[in-house]
Amino acid sequence: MRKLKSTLVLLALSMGLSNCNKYLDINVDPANPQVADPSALLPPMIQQTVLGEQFDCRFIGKYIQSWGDAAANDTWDRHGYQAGSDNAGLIWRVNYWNLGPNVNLLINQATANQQWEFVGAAKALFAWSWQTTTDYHGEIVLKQAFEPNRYVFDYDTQPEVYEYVAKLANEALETFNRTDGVQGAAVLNRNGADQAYKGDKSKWVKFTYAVLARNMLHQSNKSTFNADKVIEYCDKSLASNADNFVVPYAAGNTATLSFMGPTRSNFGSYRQTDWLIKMLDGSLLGAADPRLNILASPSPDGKYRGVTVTYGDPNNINGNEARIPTLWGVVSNQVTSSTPGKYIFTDLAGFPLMTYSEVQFMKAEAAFKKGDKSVAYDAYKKGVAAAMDFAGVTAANRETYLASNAVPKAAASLKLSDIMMQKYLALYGHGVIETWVDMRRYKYSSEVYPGFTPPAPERLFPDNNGKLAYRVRPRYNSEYVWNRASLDKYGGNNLDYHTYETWFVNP
Amino acid sequence: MGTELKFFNDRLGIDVAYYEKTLSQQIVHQRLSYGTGFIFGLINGGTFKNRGVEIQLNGTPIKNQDFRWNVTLNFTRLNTSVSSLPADVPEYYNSDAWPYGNARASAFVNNLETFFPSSVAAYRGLNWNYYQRGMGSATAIGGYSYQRNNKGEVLINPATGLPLTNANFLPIGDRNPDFTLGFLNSFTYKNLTLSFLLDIRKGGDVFNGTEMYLWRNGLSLKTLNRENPVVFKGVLRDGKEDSENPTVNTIQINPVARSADYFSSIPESEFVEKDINWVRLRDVTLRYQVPSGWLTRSKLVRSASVFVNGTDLFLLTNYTGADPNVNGASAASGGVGAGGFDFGTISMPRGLSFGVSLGF
Repeated sequence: MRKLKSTLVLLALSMGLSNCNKYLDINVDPANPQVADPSALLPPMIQQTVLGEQFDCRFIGKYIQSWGDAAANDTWDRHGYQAGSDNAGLIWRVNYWNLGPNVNLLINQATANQQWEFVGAAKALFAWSWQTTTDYHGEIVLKQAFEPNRYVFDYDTQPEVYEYVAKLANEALETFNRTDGVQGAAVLNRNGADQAYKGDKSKWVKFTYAVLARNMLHQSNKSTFNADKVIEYCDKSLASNADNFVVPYAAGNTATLSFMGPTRSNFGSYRQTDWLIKMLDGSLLGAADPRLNILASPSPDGKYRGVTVTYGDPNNINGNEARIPTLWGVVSNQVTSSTPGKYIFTDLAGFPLMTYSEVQFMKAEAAFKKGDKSVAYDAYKKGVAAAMDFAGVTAANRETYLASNAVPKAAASLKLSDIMMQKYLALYGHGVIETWVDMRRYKYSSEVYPGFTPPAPERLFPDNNGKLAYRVRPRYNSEYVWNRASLDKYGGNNLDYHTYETWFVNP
Repeated sequence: MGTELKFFNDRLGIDVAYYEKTLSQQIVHQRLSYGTGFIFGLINGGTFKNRGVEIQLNGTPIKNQDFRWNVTLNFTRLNTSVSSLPADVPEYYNSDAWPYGNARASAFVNNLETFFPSSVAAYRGLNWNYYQRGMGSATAIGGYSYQRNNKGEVLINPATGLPLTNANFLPIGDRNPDFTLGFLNSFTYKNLTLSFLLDIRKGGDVFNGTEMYLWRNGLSLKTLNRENPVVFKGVLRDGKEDSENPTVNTIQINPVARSADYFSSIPESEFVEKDINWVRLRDVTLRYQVPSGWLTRSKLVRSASVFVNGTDLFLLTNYTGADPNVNGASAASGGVGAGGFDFGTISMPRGLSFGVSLGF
């Protein structure tokens, strides 16, 4: 009897001990999924990357004068910034938070499943994001990012980030090259996960080359610049508008509709600029552009007007016939939920992260710099035509424009400004951050951007000390509050930090 | 540590408690650099020291057949000192306790200066003499303030003639009072009882966000003279501001013509009202207890009384807003909450009630 008792006790003890580990493991919830399938992780990453671009382009669009505020003396119109605000800080949040650890999670999960296309897509998208983030902010946190138990992060220089982007993009290409594991459009596009390319791996490869082309082209002022590389990447990149990386929107509510559209109403006080109108109505480029009534809109009296940046719209009153309309095409008191909007500014228009026309303009610029005007001219014309098609211009109007005085008649007469002005129009409304890179590479030169007039020194933001903006401060509630000391090493707390030229600006 | 003493046959009682507690490795929901890959981290850390004293005095100075006087006096004093915060950040703030502008409920470490080295050009306009109030406190007001030179003079932008704002969240006040007192008296003469509670507070700062809002929107009485040109008292930030002979500002501004930037050039620190005291009559009640003899005929009612009660009948304070006893958030917000943040808060209403209470 006693023996039996002690055996029972021992048995109970051993059972208790062996169960202990499992019982105490509170980090695994048996009731809910503990691993996220890559197909569930990719769509929010794509959507948030686009949102970062959309959210922050509102402010940068004022720097590059795509639009200006209806009221005079707007901070961003004056090349200023909002102290203590996260405005213009969403790209930072997307790169470090929406992507960041989620990219690693997706890569680990997809590697375990041998779903190499997901690995490639995640790396390509992350490469795009790092490129955008450093172009936007200059020095950023790279090497120490996402390190567990680290709370203070050193900043890394822009060339280091550039190198990393190229490395990441090349890794993506290597991964796309694999033919083993689980492959196919149905894998990558499971449950519609691949919002941009519907599981077409070849298009992801082209997108990745476009990232590499941006990465090299942005070094145009550097000794490391290699025009042939840009041309090579562009040739392997998007081959038509069908290859554009466009993120779609769906009917429904504000959670599914585009940030740019009238329903979400994020552009209420934004107005087309005088410069944009002059680019389109022929006064700057030599011929009227068929996109005039697509990229811009007339006032109620039928005349096209735009704000002179920092002066606002003097007729911004209900009922004034000369009032400048909103970017949705109607004056602000007439915007309702049923306003259709126009161009990229509608509820359902897909938003591109990369277009075929941009690729052609990158190629044109690189060839032009190399001195190969015939390649440049060919790419330039393809770029203009593709941008027309993207904007929904009819074929006849497109051909009329291509034959007009706005387009040089021969390769020999092609100027750099022809390429950059057409690229500006092609990227209007969606490639705002990229256009800002271009304009900074040429230091806002009016040679390259005819008609661009920065605000006069006394109309600039007071902290600017008479200089134009060259970078955006890192996100306030991330870095200025919690990582301030690291920022100090680059002068990040100086009042004019946003005017410090980023690395790619100078030779 | 505490003691409770009773004297003179319970006519006098003293209850004293003193406590000192060091809290470390708290679990905190701390905002962090997004370099972590996250926005918040649930991490351990921080060291706080709580010290406080609570004294309660009970007394019955007069007690005879017909008359009785009871007194209760509560005295509370509390002090929290922050030596470090999780992840070695300089500030912790509660985003629920941030009702208006750039002033929020913050906890600051007591070595804040080391986070803003004077070798960095951007911190030239920080004069630490002006940030001692709230330094190392868990009940500070963190907010924007004036940039100042080494003598404490306000720095003026030479281009505009307006004062320069220091856009770092630094301690601009401490909401913690020196002490609070509750003073309860009750006088009973035969069947008549008069009792009242006085609520007394000494010290503690209040951010008058209401006034700031009104000021910025031209609704404050202080903006009435907006047509008179002004010259801000201060020195120009022209590179000579920290020298022996800084350039005194002489730039005249016409506020009414500069509504875009004039009214917003006064930072939050100037709307913090310091050392706010109050004495308020929380409650006063006069009660007549119906003699039990009158009730004997009724089998139903055993006791009855008639009373008149008034709440918040008067408030004496040096606060310029409606009522310094404010909380900018609901009680649900954690920690010390948003006490001391006034934004659109109306004062406690005066209440008067009459009543009959019956016991069965």
